[in-house]
Amino acid sequence: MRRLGLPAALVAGLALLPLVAGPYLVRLLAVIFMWGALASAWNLLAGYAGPVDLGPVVHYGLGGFTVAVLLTRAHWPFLPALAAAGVLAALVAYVVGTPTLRLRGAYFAVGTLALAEALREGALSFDRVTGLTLTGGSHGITFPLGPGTTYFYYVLLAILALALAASLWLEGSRFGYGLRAIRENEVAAAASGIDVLALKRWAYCLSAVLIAWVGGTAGYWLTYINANEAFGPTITFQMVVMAILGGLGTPFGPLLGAAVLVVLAEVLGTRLLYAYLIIIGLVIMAVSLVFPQGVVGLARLRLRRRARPAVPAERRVAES
Amino acid sequence: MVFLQAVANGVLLGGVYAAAGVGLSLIFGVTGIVNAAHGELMMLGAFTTYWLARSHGVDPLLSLPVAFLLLFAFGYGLQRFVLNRSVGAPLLVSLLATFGLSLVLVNAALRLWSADYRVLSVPYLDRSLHLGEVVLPYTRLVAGGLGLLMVAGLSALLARTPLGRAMRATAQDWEMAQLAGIDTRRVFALTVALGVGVTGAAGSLVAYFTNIHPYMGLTYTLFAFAVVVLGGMGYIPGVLYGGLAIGLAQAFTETYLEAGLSLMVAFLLLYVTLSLRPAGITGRGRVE
Repeated sequence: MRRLGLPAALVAGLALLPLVAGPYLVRLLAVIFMWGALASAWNLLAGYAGPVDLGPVVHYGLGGFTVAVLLTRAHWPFLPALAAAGVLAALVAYVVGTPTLRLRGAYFAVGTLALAEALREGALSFDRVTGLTLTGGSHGITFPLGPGTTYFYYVLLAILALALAASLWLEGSRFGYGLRAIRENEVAAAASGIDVLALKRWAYCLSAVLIAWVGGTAGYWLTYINANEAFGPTITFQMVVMAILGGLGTPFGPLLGAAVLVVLAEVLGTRLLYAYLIIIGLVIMAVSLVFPQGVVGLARLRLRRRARPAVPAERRVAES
Repeated sequence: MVFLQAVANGVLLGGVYAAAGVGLSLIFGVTGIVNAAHGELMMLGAFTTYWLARSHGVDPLLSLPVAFLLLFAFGYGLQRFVLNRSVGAPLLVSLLATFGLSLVLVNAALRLWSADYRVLSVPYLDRSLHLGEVVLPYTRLVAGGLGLLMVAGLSALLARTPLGRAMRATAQDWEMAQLAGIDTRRVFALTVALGVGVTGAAGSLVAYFTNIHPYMGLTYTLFAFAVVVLGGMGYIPGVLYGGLAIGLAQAFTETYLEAGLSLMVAFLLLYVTLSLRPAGITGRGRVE
């Protein structure tokens, strides 16, 4: 709890910022909040418990389409629709997580990717095959015109704050220790009485709800959603890369990674798109091979070394 | 008749998928590296075949060994200078490093060749073989047949040659293999080179009958994963079962259900198989 002072002050400062900042800065920060929330939510499972989920867009797309359908068909207000999307995401994650989270290592990664791709293909052809109008096929769904950027700035900031709060809670709680025990050695964790599946499933549901909220908010903000993008691998890869570049299993690493990549894309992206992506690719290769722990993880290692010089920083146990 | 046609389509498709997956399975089986850039390597093979045909009029069937050799060299360098660091590291490290590689390859291809779709036409393969009512396009027949041959060749190499034995020993326990006098670094590099070379050759195969463009890789990465997991990760003959399962599932979906659902069925099949039989259909894959 003593560590909550600085983050709380930061969030309060950011809440007051739109009163003085220009529209460009507000938009840029809102984009950072969006990706920061996604990367932090993904990190709750992958960073603290270990399973590499390559299908987080399952929750993202589900949240986006739930909000889209409730807004356009049932004419709900936005926030209740968002709440409903969160409930649905939690239920789906609970049901899907039960068989999926039994898979280990590479199998979990490939299984979740397969699930996301199956959903993408299914959502794309749903309307054509069933004759109903639900996902809008390849055209997608256009939202009713929403409020301005400042509104989304606050919604995304709130989701980000929740994701960070969840991460900080995992740092010091019994639940978080259980997850980290699973990450270090699943067999030993199970042997010492941890209900591995139950803990992983709770982390999975928590991350699913946060990701679904971002998906629903992003769709409304951009006024448009389609299955090809919302369930597509591009969103997954960006989340994963941000979380890892920033530092897996750290509370603020994913946000840092998101901020760095969003600003980089902003500075370089429009003029030298291919060159930018080639550079990003090389950076990802270098970081993953040279400092697998990520930037924040590296800072931590140094601090720990200074505190306990006799103990070398242990490498994580390979899981596959 | 419709049924037989669907079976024939599925089997031919299965041969190509087996070839697309075999390199991934070999690399994972021996080094434990999960290669997210797999489809991009196929894309490079497809472009090699396309450019040789376009600029030098090289027959696509003759450029298959060229694609193999070019990517063999690429794979050797890749393992020696880049991926060797991720052997024995957690799964995420190799996955991320190769994902970075795929970004580099896709965007380099976009800069060099633009995002245009290209089609390779092979005049003497444009006809079809008619067996009774069943129609077999020659392009598919050649691609499927060559795919099966490649998988058979690789299985024989692993089972019968000294290099294959060294690879199998390294796959089982690389530290013990080293103690027994095997130069494991060389084995790793040759394994990745061979796996990447075969993948390039598989890219050359799909060039006969699909659109060639820089973004084509991701679909093949997913298909290769599906094939390999269904057959059992690291169990080479398993890619035949995996390829057939996916090929037949797709062919039957297209024939009896709806063409647009064939990819969904393939991925659902993968997901269900993983949940029920994590070591693949044959039960002989590496689970850990």
